[in-house]
Amino acid sequence: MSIAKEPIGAVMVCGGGIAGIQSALDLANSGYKVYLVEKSPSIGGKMAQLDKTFPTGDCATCIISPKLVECTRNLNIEIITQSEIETLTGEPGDFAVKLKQKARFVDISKCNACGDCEKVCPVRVPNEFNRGLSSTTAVRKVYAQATPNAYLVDKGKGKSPCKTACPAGVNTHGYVALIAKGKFDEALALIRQNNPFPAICGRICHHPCEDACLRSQVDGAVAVCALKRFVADHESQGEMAPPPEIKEKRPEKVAVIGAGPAGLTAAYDLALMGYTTTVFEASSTPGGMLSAAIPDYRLPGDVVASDVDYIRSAGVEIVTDTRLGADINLDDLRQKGYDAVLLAVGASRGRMLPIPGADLTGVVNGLDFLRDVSTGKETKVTGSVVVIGGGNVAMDVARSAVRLGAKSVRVACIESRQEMPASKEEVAATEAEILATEAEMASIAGKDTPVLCRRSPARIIGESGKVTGIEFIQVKHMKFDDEGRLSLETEPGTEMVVPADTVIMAIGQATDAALLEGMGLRLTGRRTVDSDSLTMETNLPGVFAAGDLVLGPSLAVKAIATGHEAAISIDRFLRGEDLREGRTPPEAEVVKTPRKVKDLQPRVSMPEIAVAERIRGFGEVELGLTEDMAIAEAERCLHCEVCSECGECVKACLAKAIDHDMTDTTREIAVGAVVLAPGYEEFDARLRGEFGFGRYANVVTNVQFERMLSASGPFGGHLQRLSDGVEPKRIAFIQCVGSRDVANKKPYCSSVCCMAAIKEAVVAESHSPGLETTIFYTDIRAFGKDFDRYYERAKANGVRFERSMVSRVVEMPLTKNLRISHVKDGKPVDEEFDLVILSTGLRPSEEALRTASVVGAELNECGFCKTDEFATVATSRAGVFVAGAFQEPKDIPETVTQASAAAAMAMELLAPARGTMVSEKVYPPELDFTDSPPRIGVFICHCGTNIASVVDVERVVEAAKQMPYVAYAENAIYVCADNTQDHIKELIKEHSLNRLLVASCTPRTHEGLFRDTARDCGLNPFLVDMANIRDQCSWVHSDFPDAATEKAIDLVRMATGRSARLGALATEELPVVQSALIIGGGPSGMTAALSLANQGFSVHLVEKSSELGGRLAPGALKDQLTSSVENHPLIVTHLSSQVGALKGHVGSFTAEVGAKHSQEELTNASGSFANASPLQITFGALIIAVGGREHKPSEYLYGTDARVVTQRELEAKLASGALDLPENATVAMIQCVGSRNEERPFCSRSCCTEAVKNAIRLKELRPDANVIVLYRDMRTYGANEVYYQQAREMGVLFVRYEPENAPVVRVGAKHSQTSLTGSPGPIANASPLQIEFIEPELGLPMSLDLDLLALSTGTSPAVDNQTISELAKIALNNDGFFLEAHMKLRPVDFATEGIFLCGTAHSPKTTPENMQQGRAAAGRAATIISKKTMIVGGQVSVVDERKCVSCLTCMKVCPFGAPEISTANGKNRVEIQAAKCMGCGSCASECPAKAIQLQHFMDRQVEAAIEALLTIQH
Amino acid sequence: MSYEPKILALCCHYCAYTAADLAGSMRLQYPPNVRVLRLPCTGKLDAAYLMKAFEHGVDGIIVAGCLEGGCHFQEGNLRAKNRTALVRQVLAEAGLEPERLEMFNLSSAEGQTFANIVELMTTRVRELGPNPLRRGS
Repeated sequence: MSIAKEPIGAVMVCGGGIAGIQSALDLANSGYKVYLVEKSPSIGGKMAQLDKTFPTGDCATCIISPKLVECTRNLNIEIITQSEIETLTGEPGDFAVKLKQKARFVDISKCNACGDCEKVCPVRVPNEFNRGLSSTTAVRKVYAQATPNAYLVDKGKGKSPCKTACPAGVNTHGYVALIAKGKFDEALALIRQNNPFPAICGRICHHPCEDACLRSQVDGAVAVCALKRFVADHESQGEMAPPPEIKEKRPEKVAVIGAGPAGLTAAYDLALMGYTTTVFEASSTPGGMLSAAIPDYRLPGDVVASDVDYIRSAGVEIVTDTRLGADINLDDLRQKGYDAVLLAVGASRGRMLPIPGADLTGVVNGLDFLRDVSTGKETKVTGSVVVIGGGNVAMDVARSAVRLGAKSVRVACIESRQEMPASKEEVAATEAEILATEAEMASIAGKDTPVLCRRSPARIIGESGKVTGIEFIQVKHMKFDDEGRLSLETEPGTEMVVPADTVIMAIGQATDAALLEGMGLRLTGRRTVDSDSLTMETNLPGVFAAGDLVLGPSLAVKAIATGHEAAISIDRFLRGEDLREGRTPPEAEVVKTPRKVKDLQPRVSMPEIAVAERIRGFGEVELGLTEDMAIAEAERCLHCEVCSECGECVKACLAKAIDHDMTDTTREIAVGAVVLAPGYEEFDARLRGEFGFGRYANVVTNVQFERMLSASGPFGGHLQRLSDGVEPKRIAFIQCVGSRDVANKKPYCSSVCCMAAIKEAVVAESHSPGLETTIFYTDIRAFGKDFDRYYERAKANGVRFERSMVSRVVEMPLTKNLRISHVKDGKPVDEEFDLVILSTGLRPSEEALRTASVVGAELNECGFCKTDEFATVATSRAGVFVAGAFQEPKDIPETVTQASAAAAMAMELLAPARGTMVSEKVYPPELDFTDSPPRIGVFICHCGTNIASVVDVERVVEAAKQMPYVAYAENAIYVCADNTQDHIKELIKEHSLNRLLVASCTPRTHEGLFRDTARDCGLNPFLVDMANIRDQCSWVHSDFPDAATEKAIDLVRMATGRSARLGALATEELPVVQSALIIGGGPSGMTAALSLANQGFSVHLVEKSSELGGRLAPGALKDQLTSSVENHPLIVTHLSSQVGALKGHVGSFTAEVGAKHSQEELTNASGSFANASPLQITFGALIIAVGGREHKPSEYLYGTDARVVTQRELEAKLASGALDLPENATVAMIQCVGSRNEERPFCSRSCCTEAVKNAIRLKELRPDANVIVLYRDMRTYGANEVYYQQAREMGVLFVRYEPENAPVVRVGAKHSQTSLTGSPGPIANASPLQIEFIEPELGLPMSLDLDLLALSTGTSPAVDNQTISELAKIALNNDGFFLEAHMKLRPVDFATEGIFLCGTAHSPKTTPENMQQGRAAAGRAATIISKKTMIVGGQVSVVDERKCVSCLTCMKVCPFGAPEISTANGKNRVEIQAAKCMGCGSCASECPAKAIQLQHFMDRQVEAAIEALLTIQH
Repeated sequence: MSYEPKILALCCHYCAYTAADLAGSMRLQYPPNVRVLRLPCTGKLDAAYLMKAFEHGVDGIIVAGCLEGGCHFQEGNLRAKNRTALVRQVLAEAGLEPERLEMFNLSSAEGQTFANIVELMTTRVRELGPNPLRRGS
């Protein structure tokens, strides 16, 4: 590959889960700038969602949150959230990454995560973090410890359809959301931002929003219009809200002609912009068609008046009875100083049909009729009325006629019922009212509909100049063209006459075209004003037009929309700005599918006056919603776009951090390498429909169950069913949902689910004593370190393991219990459970696949990231590495290991650039408190509910306040949270605190964090102390809250006693030896050596045998590794050597390395060397890679019968072709020989896969051979499962055995038999090798004659582990493998700083895994030896010269040689070398003169704690 | 009110204290009578601490260090063993039951052992009754 000559010392890590975090920390701590890119709003990944971790039971949040904080505190890690790679160009070492960052709508630098915004957010959507088990707000933090600790606004995946549908641009979603929260005034104000007619539109709007509402696809659209009316009515019962503030008064004047919806909207907008705005209206009542043409029963006059009043209150002047053309004209207005004119005189002339008889008396214009009714001119209608027209105006006319006394009314239109332009509700109401009237008057018998469709009026018939009837003809076809012209085809011979005393035509409206033309306005073919559709400009400069005047007869809300546009144009015109710029916004994506609705709730129905009642007068028919109805209806909103943009959060945020106008951004970043750590997604359990997930309430996924168990989860850790909230008594886990599933293209094993389910079962039992747990499984794959012990313990604790394939889950209708059908002992069994948990498998996320494709990383056959066989972090794109579950499903320690390995590979690539792009943290100067009395600040942590659910935290705070020297005490939900840290800093300053005491969890994980907080305030880090009230109180005394609280108070008191006596300690800088020593020359040790050497560090590789390679079989890999090591200029190999003595400390160790006398000595403790003067090697870091050894079995005739071999011996035979088998040979393999037994109660991990691979190889070489594998659980985890599948397909038989019925192998008498497959068995000329086992399905013993038996023997710890453990002071676990610092998050570290672990020395593994761990250890070691210096001092011993009598006791005691005789000032006194002092205090305790004190653990400090404990007796 | 002993546990940071943390994360339940005081190593244990604690009325003391041979600082736990034995002698001479004080060794992986130690000492000291020095105070 081509590599940049001058690489860039920066790495982009994609994915902020534990893998990304570990890679980022390793890289940043060893001299590289890191961009930690995360697609979601916070880092933490899946681990943050987990409750506890196996096998230690650590709380996942507790162990990950310090890492999260560490990331944010590391100056060289830049966390970039909500981002994804768009392109990657360049070459390894010098890449250019284009990154797309989604808008967060919250400025992280301003947000202090106070949560005020969240409190006012009206939106409630399912909480994805809790997998839908609870709800959350649109503005939120993903979870309590989310990092960065800042809020975000979730704007979903597109705009909501209701909002997009409103022509006037009203924020429909916003006001509906506010109504749901009871914020009616706020809702009204939001409506008025885009529509000054809430009361009017709340009644007569044709509500396109409701047509678009996605809930209409579920159980009916949200009654948005009625909700709008509700808030307007609600206001009318009290005081009218003041209009919005006018920000800037403008000198210009604008005239608006016409007080209809378009004119008044524009006037209102312009008034708010600061213009002096006058509206001239021809009639005496403002409102245009709204007041003139819509009858009171639908829109009462006072409602119109109230909306108009509001517009007036904004400063709009309305001059009535002033008609354009008659009273004013454009020239007058110009002369009067109006700078712009908006024409909005509407289309108010009712059209008449030019048919014979139209001039008869009794033929009336519908619009004139309505106008007369509204002004009181028309008060009575008699006889029969025929209304012509199919629109809302026709309905208004008909319904008015009914109310005014018409004997009968018929409505006739040319459209079909479906084509009628009137709203369906209006037509229905019209019909109902006419029928009710006629029934009452008994004027016409029968129940024919009074609405006559597809009737074209042909002529009006009259007598003596007066109407008597009207003749219609049936319509065959009708169509309006784009210009609105009608083409009509009638059916001759269908004429009919309808008797009528009055004919009212309501067939449409028109503009006063003559008048307009007279003013010089250009008109369209439809006789409307020809104005620009975007800007509303007319052909006359400064004259704009809006509403029906340009639209033709249209809808109010569309007129309002044109009013807005006209106002914007007039403003721009008056400011001399471009009228068009930026007015066509990019089309936003609209949400198309409704969110899942759990509880159906039909749409509210509007209360109305009964038909019989309403036909008597013009009282309003619709009564409006009550408050309860309105809230319930608003709550039906599905929040399609999540954030409703109601603006409440903006108002609530005092920090002004929220900005809804933020947009997505892209940025280019130059990096030398990329680490992909995008994690995984869980399998969509709905794809296994037979288990009922998504249909049955009590079937949950394992991730949901984790959230249920979590103290910070939706139920506070209380175990409950989703259907009824009842605590379950019987729960079942179904394994392999979306794993080992070829049908769903998930052929791999997800590796973690078995242990996760066992852990969840164990934890669930602890939550709910007496709980019965059953795990339905195929194989239990407890293949990791200490996993089998955990499995056995779970069995002992009563977790039931049922080896069975579950065929289906059925919900019991009454109880919502779940019936599981499975097969037990060959018989079908049905069992009922209260709750079923599906162990969903892992799969790569869509984002991960997209990123992989963008960066050019190929995928493997399982769909995960393809890697090199032995460099399992190297992708197919050079310079791009991978870590974590995206490479293959894996658990946390392996993920962390892989992350360190990926970091190491990046370091190898970018070795020359180390340190070129990093910066260092500068703390404020330390304040001197030497002479100040102690002022302790005590912070008591709730740890969510971890502490507070048991310990009465408030009581502890009160008690603390009474303790000596305590100047301040308070409690916090999470003291470790970033915001609390900032809060503490403020309090330290505010209360002049000079000691910080945190009562929370263990100082082992959190002391560093609080020390850093102290340093940030100028406090010496040693002035910090902690009381562990979680691990030592709440967690271990959960049933005794009082006693736990008393104990917590005692622990705090002890700590205050000590704290008051703490002093500031100085530190100094020491050089680091920038090289490493590695013990063990196997694959892991060699990989570690090569990685460090490739990074530019010199390495000593010590191997006790005479050659490198360890247990690697001869072959290409071994040759390649050994020659690379031997030829590397920076690696010094010490063969036949071992470490004799080890001294020193992190950064500076010294070891004696030399050859041993004999092979026997090699296994003995350290001691004499063959060579009298062994080498003295100094180095900064030590890696233990001593490997393990193959268990040599004594069972199954191994060693006594040549036909019994180990799996490794078989592998060698297969490789060399030395396999000699007869025709149709029978070969058996026995698994778990020397593993998972009492002596070695652990799984050797690699044997199942080895056996399967050997079986496949054997079948390939000898398809005639019968291969049978006797196993306990086939543990072909991860992609190895594919081999298992392949072996079965090739005919390899897999037969399970139980340890109590292990196979029996013996040499039988000479005989012939038939083999298992029916082919003739071997004709034995020797005594046959026989195997006997129980056939599990039949339960019967079976016997076979074998030609070969391969034993899958386990791995044992190396013989000299004990020696090395003592030499380096590092621990072994119960099985004799080395014990890492932390099983989950520090898998390759030892507790002792500077010493690392890899390979089989850690636990049994495969060769690629060992090599990966070797590389990880190198990555971790680099974090130490990449630094030139390190800080020492602080907690070290000091000698009081006056007391020291130079007795040299300390020199004998100190294991590190720290005390030395100093001859300074002519005195022989002991001095302690700070660099060597490890702070154990042995010297101090042993000093007879009491001349030595260990700083930070001085006698008076320790004794003060003891005294404080007993100050108060209980 | 029935007597509840107050027990001080002087724990080594590397083994016993970590084991106590493990007992916590494993949610092992043990008597709430124990108060842990962390030392960098039991080698830092001074006989005076033990004497002072009894003098102030503590009813029992647990000294908990690493497994023998497993001391992070080589022999700190062995020295603590000697000191503990010495103080036990002194207690006996002073008429105080030496069983009130005992040293235990455990690794950081032994959360259960820690819980067992607390259980054992609490039961024992409860049976022994209150520290007479405490009664007198």
